[in-house]
Amino acid sequence: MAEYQNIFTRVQVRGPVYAGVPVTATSWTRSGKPFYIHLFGVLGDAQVGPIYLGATGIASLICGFIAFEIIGLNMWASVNWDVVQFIRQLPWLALEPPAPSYGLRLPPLAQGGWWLMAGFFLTISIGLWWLRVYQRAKTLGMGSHTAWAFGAAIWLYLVLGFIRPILMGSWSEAVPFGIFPHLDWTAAFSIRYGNLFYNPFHMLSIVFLYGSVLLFAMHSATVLATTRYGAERELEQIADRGTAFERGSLFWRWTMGWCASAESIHRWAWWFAVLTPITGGIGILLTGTVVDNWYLWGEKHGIAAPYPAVWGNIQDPVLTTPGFPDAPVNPLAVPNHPVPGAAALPVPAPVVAPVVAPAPAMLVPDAPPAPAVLAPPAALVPVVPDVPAVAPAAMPPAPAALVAPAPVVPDASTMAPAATAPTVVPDIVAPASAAPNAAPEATAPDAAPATGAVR
Amino acid sequence: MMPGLKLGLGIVGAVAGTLLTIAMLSKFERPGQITVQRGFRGVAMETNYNPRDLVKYVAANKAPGALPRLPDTGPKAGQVYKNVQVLGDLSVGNFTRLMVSITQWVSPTQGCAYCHNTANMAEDTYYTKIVARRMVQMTQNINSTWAPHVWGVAANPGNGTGTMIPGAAAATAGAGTPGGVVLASAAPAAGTPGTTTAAAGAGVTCYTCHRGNPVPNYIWWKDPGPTPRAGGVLEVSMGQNMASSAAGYSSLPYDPFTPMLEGAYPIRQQGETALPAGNRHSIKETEWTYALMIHFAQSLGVNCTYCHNSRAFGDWSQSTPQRISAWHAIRMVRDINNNYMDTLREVFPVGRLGPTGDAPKVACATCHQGVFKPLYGVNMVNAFPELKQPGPQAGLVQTSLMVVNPGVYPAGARTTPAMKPTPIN
Repeated sequence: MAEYQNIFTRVQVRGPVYAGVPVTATSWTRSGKPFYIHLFGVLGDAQVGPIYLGATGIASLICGFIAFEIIGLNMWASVNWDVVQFIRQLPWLALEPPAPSYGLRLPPLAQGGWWLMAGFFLTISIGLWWLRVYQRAKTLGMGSHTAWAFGAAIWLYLVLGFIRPILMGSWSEAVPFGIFPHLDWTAAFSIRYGNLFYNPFHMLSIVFLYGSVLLFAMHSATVLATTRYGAERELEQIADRGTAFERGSLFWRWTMGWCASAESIHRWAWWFAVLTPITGGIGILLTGTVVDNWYLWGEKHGIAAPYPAVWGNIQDPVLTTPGFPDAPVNPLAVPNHPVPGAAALPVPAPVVAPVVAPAPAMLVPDAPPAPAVLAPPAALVPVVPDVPAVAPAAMPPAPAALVAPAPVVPDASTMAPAATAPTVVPDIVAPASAAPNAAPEATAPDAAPATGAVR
Repeated sequence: MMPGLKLGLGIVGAVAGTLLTIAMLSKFERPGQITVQRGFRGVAMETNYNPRDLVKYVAANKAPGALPRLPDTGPKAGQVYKNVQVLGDLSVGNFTRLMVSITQWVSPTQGCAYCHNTANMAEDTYYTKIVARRMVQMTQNINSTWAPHVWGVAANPGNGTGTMIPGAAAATAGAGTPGGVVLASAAPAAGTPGTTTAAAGAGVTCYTCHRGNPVPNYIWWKDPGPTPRAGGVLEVSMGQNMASSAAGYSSLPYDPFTPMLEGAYPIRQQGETALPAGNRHSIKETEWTYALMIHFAQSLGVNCTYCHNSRAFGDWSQSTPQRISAWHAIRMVRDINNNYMDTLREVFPVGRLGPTGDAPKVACATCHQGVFKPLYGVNMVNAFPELKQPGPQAGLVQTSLMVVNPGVYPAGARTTPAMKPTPIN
């Protein structure tokens, strides 16, 4: 007697290996001689192969491999080809999108170009794999549900890495390729745009995510609990009375008064799963393009409860102490004037090679330049009731002013004197050439800081 | 079931269980945390403490006693000794008392000779004496012009209330910390805002940072990155995506200090309107701010909610008074780094400079060392009023006679930059 009460499959059916129905209407065939693996049978079907790769499958694997190599080799290079450090720090390493100053332009390879290239090949790979899923289903005479479910995930992927960055006018808005870095990006994304929890589409996405989990648990538990009556043979049982499936339906009807049918439970599951990334993607797409601060948006629409002033009236010091400098200048401090008798100093040797990295401009990003698309596309307008308030005319009128680094430029003390190109991100970190012997005037941090713009 | 499979699963389970146990024991904290409410009830505005860690912090943050002060009579130090440029108005007795105290605070094992040529104490022979003079001026400046931070003036409401922790109090008994340890101030009862007692700042002395070390434990230099990169056509450093000790071992930027605590790069990133109105700050900038804020939290041994209501980080009206204090602290640290530490760059020998040749600098952990108020708020400076007021500022950097005192600084170039991991865990 077969036993079904277990977390893994305990019955393995062994017959002659079986290639499946004939492949038609294609120039490719399935490849590989099928064989059995017992351990695979514990988790799924014991038969392995044959596989149908096809043109799209092979092209997808090649493109995916290229993306994987671009990401992996850049990560490995970031620890100077050290194998031990590569393994040890792998969760921290990443391939980072370009700095905001590049906008939607193509940056040099080392400054984010590799990120664009990896994203390009990964997107092609995913697209080809989608096509393959669609074609395989059609060839087998199936519906295309799998392809469209996969498409929902691709939608979220494209919003995060392609559509939204284009609407924001900057590749820098996209997600880095890395394990911890993409999680840090997620946290920073929420912080920058005023707490994503107040985004109603984020709320919907969570509803569908948790709902998917609930439906998955209910359905799988029901089927497993009735496998002793043969419920895994769903198709034969769906329409019949007195079957294991009817027993499962009765359980739920008696438990909660109503039940899904054997067919509709899969529609429930499919829609919940698919709506998770679809609503999530809409929420991401609206962030920054249509709504800049979700908490304030929530407050405006009455979904954020007021907070009692338990500490009294706490006010922004910028407002209560106007003119307080961001980087105070001590008038008594000796700025970086030539040191008398400096020749008597022990001559410090350069501690490191003067130029560590050729691109100090990358170290701190500035605000992104003017977006290519300031206003949300018209198609988005009906989605959120606020949107008419952001008619394009109400947007900042002078994109050119946004390109200029002035509004976000740090105070002069941190500017490298050589940072001249106005459209390039200001060099926040002093140039790496600030070796101890460098001329004092060229060493940014020692210069007396100009009165910083108060912010 | 196959016996081999059963055995295999058993071995895998045992190994996984052992590893998980090790991970839990080393990285997780067992229950028994102390929670101090820091805002309105029920919204998780609270600061969490591990009482086992608190005992360690209390032991590590004890303030030494002060030598008895002498009468301010008799000849002044500036009249009796040569080359007393900053503290010349002190009586000879109290001048000597301060010098002895500084030795106890900064170079207890090296003694007077750490800064002075003992054959002629007046000589500015050693770089350490030049630095020490500048540091005395810095201490005077912090205590006199940065009252909003070090005297609690900015964070007046509620700064005097606190939650007494019996275990921690026991740990401090007889250790010069009367009354036990006051943890981060608890929120005043709802409905009585601003009724709490006056500010309780404590000022700073040399000991606040030095703790008996010639070089304070928690200092930083510009960090070009923890490892060399292959370079060439491959990705250059983006300032992040390495384990960042400055930011709690996240992959966030590993040197948020240079732009934000030396430079005045904008820390605020959130927009102040619901809909877009010209705020073009990027997610990447936010990551730098995030890294800096992790350093703040770790340096003070607190959570985000010590200052912010985390549902609206940017909103001042929902923040605590400590956020105002921190706002002043940011500007104080920039002042210290630009107008004191950086001006000494030519004075320090190469072994004291960072990997890119910059002077050592301070951040929150330099003073706080894991505690919300340095030394749990013990006031050391009131016994040394000469450190509380601005003194003469002449002759700040004189290096013509300076030589390096052999044996008191590390030889050779520094290769491991950056602040020690902040003192939490």
